[in-house]
Amino acid sequence: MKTTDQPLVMLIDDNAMDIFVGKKFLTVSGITNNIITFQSAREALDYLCQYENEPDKLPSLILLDIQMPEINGFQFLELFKNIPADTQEGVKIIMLSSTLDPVDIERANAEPHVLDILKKPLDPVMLKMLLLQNKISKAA
Amino acid sequence: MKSLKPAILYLDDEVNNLTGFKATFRRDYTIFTAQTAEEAFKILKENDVQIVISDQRMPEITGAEFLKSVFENHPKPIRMLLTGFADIESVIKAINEGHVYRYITKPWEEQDLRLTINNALNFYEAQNELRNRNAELEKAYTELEKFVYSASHDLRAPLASVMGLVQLAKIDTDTDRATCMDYFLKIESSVNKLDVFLQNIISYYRNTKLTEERVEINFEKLFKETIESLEHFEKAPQIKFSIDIRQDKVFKSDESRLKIVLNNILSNAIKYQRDDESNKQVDLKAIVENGHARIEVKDNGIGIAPENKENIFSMFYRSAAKNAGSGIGLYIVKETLTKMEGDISVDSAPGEGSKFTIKIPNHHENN
Repeated sequence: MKTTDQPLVMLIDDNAMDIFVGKKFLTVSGITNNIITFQSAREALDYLCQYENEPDKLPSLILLDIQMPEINGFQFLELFKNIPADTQEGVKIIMLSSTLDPVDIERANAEPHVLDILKKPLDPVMLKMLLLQNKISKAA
Repeated sequence: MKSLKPAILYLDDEVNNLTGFKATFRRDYTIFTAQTAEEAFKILKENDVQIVISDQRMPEITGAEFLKSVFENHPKPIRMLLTGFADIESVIKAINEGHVYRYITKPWEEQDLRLTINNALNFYEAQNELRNRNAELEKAYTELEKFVYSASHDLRAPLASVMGLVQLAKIDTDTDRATCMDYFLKIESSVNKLDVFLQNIISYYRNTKLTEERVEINFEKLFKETIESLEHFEKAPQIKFSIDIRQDKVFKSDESRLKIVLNNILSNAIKYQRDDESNKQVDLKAIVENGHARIEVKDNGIGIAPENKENIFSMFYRSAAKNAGSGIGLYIVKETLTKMEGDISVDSAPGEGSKFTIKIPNHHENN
C-alpha cells in the first residue's frame, strides 16, 4: 500500500469540496498519491496522536485550512505543539486560506512548523516548487 | 428625559445669591444649589445635571478651579461662570481650562440669564445628540468590520472551490462524460452556496429598508411555499414535514418579513439534521392566540449545546457543528423580529433536536 517515494500528505479542511479539489491536485500534478484527509482538526489530531510512534504513518506535510468551525487552523497549531516533539519533527505545515488576511499571514509566518500560507484554490505548480525547495518531494 | 425639567446646579458661597436664583428659576428648571464644592460634587454624582453655574470668588476654591475639576470628572454638563466684576484673567483661565461655555457678570438680569441658560441647554442637547450619533456610528462601524471579515470569507470560499474545480477539470486528462458531470455538479453546489449567502445579504439589506406592510396571513400557504423554496437543499428530500395550524381569527402581519424569518429558521432545521437519523422530521405549527401568533418550528436534528444558546443570534456566530453555515441567518431572524416587535426563543437538547418558538403581534383590528 505504501508508495515509498511519495510523501504522505495530510489534508485538513471542513469543506468536502476543497478536500476533493486538493486531493485531485496532488495526484494529477504528480506530487503524491499518498494522501489522508480529515474534515475536522479534531479528527486529524486524533490520528496524529494514535500513530505518534509509527513514523511511516505520519505525514511529511499537512495542508491546513484556516477557517474551520470548532477548531480553526491556528487553534490546531497550538494543539499540535502538545504532541511529542519527535512526532512534530518531520511534519511541515502549509496553511490555506480563501481570503489571505494580512493578520493571518503574519501569524502564520511566526509559526515554526509553517512553511507558508497559500491562497485557495491551491496552485499545484507553486505547491510543487515549495515542496522541492523544502525537500519534501524529490525532483522527478 | 424630555418631559423632565432641565436641571441646573448653582454653586455660590453666599446663601442670598442661591435663594434669589432659585426663586427666579425654579418654575422652569430643577434647581440644585450648593455652598461648597464638596456639596456640588455630591449633587453631580447623584443627579443628571445639564448646566453647572459657579460663582468665581469663593473662600476655598475659585469658580475657575471648580469648573475645571467638573470638566475633568463630569464632562457632560455645560459649565458657566459668574463673576462679580470683569475679572478678565480668571475668566480666560476658566474658559481655557474648564471649557466654560459662557461667563455671566454680576448682578445678572433675569432676561439675559434666562436666554443664556436656554442657549446652553440647546448646546447641551446638540452635544448629546452628537455623542449618541457617534456611539451609533461606532457600533455600525464595528459591525461593518465584522461583516467584511466574515463576508469576504463566505463570499470567496465557494468561489475558490469553483476556481479549483475549473482548474482541475482543465488539467485532468481522463475526463469522460461522467467525470465532467461530476465536476459540473460540484461546481453547481458551490455556486448554490454562494447564491444562498448573497440572497441572505440581500434580504438583510431589504429588511433594514422595508416599510412595514400588514396583510392577512395564510399560514398553510406560507408554510408550504417556504418548504417548496427550500427543496433544493441536499437533505430536504429525506425530511418529513408536518403542518399544524390552530386559528379561529384573522391574523395580519408583515408577510415579507415573516417569510425572511421562516425561511431562515426552516433552512437551519433542514441543514442541521443528523445523518444517522432515519426519520428526519420537521414540524411546523402556527397558533393564533389573543393579540399574537405563535409559530413553532421543531426538528429532530443535531440540536444546540446549552453553552451556545446565548450566542446563536449574534452576527456571524457559528455553532461547533461540522456543517455550519455562514452565521448570518439567525442574526437576520433576530433583527427582523425586532422590527416586527416580535420575539424568538429556542429550546434544544444536543443530539435530540431544536424547537424555535416565534411570537409576533397580530395587527388585525379585533384581535
